[in-house]
Amino acid sequence: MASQLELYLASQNGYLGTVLPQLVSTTTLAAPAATVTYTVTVPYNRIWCVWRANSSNASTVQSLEARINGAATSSYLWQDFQANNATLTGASSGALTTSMILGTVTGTTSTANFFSSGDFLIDGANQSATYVTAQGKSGNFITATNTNLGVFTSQYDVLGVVTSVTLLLSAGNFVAGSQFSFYGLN
Amino acid sequence: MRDDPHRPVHVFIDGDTVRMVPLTDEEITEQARRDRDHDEQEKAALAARADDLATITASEDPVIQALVRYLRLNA
Repeated sequence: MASQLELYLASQNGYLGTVLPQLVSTTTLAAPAATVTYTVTVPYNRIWCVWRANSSNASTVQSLEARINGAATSSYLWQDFQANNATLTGASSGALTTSMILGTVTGTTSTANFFSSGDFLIDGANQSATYVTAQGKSGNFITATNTNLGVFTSQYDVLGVVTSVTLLLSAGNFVAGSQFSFYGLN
Repeated sequence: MRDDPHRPVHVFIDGDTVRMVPLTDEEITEQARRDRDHDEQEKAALAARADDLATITASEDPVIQALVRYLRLNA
């Protein structure tokens, strides 16, 4: 884990961190969590999150959602393409909504020991001239013959630098054992 | 209830520090409502898909009937 000094140095020009992702935090949940909030301690241009998670909800698939700076207002746009087995379907928010969608996770109806994984990149995190954008991908197996793979894009339609990112699910909690790693990139 | 070890938490990651705050009773109630809504939406989507299938298979259009027969033979 990088120290605060290392994180500061990594954000400066001429340090290796300016060209490589810098791990800021890895957290493995010891208890079910309704939300996971990452507070920005060093102002990187980009925030990259690699995650592995499942939901406590009994339904088969839930959305992995994100909110910027704690905003639960209708300020987000999203679009996705998701394949369930051989069927590819696109969907979009169609209008401003209350969170980004950056992936999907399975629920308790998935086969034992099956976990979902993915990653997303929040771009433009350290500027306030244009809206923050994000792209994600995720994949999971509900059963050996029922599978999901998706790509996602989102936008936060409020100007301002990113000070925090809150992850939540469309239903249920992140189960214990879910893991989130946050990196900074310039 | 606040000491319940199974009560979900909010996790706050601030550098090396991870803080966990248990959900309030109000948040637990709101979460249960959200989960119920999610489950009902999923059931409604499945029912709509079943309705679509019933409409297609009941169609009197000869082309649709031929397609349904073909799909059943090759299922």
